Amino acid sequence: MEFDSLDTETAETPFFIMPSNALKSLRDELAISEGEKLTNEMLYRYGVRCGEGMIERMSIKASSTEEISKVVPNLWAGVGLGRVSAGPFTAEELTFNFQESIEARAVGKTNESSCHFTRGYLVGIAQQISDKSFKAVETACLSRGDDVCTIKLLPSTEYFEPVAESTEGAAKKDYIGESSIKLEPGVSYLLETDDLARCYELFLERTMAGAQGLCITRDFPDRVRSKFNIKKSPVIWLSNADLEYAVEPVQLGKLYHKIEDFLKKTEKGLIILVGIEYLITQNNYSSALKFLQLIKDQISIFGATLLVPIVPDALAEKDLKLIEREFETIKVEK
Amino acid sequence: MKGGSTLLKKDHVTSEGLTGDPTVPDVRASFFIVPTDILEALHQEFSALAGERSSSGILYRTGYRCGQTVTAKMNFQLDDDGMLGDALTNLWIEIGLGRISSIIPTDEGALKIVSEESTEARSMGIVRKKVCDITTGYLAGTASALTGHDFVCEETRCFSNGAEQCEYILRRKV
Repeated sequence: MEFDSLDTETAETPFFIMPSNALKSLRDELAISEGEKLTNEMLYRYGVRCGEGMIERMSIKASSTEEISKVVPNLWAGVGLGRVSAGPFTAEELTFNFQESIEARAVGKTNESSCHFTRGYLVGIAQQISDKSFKAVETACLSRGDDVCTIKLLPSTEYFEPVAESTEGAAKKDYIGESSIKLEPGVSYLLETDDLARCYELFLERTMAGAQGLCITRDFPDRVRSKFNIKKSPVIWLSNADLEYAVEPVQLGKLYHKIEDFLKKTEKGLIILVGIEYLITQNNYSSALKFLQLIKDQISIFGATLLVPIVPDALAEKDLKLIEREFETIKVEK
Repeated sequence: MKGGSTLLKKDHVTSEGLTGDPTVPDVRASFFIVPTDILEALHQEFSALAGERSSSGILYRTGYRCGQTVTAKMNFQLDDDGMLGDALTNLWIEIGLGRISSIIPTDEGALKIVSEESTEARSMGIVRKKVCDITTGYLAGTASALTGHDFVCEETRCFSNGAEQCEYILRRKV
C-alpha cells in the first residue's frame, strides 16, 4: 500500500457537502423525468465519478484485494455515506457491509436495493486505488428489509484497453489511404456517405497505423469484427440487448461516460460512432446534437479524433446543417 | 464561526428524510462529500438528457435542497434578517462551493453577492454561459432555512460566461 502525499494533497481536493435528502430529491426528480432504471444507472455513474474524484489527488495505491479491503473502510470514514466493514474476499472478489447506508435510509423501504450512488462511489474508490476495473452488486439492502447493506465488488469486463490494431497477417486492401483523407488530432469529422464500409476501413487503417480505437456502432459487433477485420479495438454496441458490451441508445449519459473514460486512458485515440441517425430517432434531435457537442469538446481536450459517418438523406436539411457546423465535413465517395 | 451572535441554535433537530426514529439527531451520518469535479459531469449529462433549461432547474432545486438541509442540520437560524449577508459569508466557507468576497444590499431590498472563486464555474471552465445553478440554489436554500422565509437566487454574471467574478442576486420570494 502506498500513501504518498496523502496529507498535503487531500487538503487541496475540492469538495462540497451534500445532505442525503438532496440525493433523494435528485433521485426522485430524475426518476420522474428519466424513469427508474436510467436514474439508478445515472446515480451509479455519479458515484463512480465521486469515488474516483475523491482518490484522484491522494496517490493512494492498493494492488491486491486484501489491501483494498483494508484501505477502503478507512477511506470510507471520510466520505460520509455510512460505516463500512470489509467482509470476506478472494483474489478477485470483495465484500463490504454497510451498517448504516445513508442512501438506503434516505430512500426508505422500497423492497428493492437502493444504494446505487453508494455502489458507484465504492467502485470509483476501488478502481482508483487499484488501477483495476470493478463492478458492484448489492446483495442485501436496508431498503428491501435486510439488516445491513452488502455490496460485492467483482472484476468488470467492461474495461477498455486502449490498443492499436495489429498489422500482422492483414491483407493488403484498397483502403482510403492517408493520401486521400487527412485526419488531425483534436478534430471531429462528419463523414457524409452512403458507404459505411469505407468508414470502417478508414478506422481500421488508422488503428493499424498506431491509433488506439474505440468503435461505437449500431451494427452487431461480431459481424463488424469479422467483416472489417477489427480485432483488438473495443466495440460498443448501440442496442437494448442486456449485454455488458451493449449500451442502450437512450443512455446517452452512459455512452458519454464510456467515451470520456476511454479518452482519459488513451494517447492517440480514434473513435468511430456509427449510428448517429439511430441515436436521433431513439432520443430526439436536440439531445443527440448536445451529445455530439459534448463529445466534440472532449475530443478537442484530449487531442483525439472522432469519425461520425452519416447518410445525409436520412436527416432534414436544417438538422444536417446544424451538425455540419459542429464538425469538419468530409464527403466520402464509394 | 464569525457572526455567531446572529445565529440561534434551534432546540430540536430531526433526521428529516431518514427512516427510523425521526427525533434522533443524525447530523454526522446524513451528509457526504462530493468532489467538485462531478459538477461538470452533472451539468453535461443533465443538459444532454433534459435540455439546458430543465437541467438548470434540476440542479437549482438540488442545490436548494442541499442548502436548506445543511443549514437546518447545522441547527442555525437568524433572529435578524438584516444579518443574512454576514451569516451567508461565514456559512459559505464551510460549504465548499467557493468564497463569497462581498455581499451588498441593493435598492430593491435584495442582496448582491459576489463570488470570486465559484467552484461550480471553475469546474465548468469558460463555456460562454452562466452555469452556477447548484450554487444559486444552495444560496437560496441556505437563506430560506436561516430566515424562515422563501428566497430565490439568480445569477447575473458568471466566470464561465467570461466575467471576472460570479455575481448573484438573492431576494425574498414575493
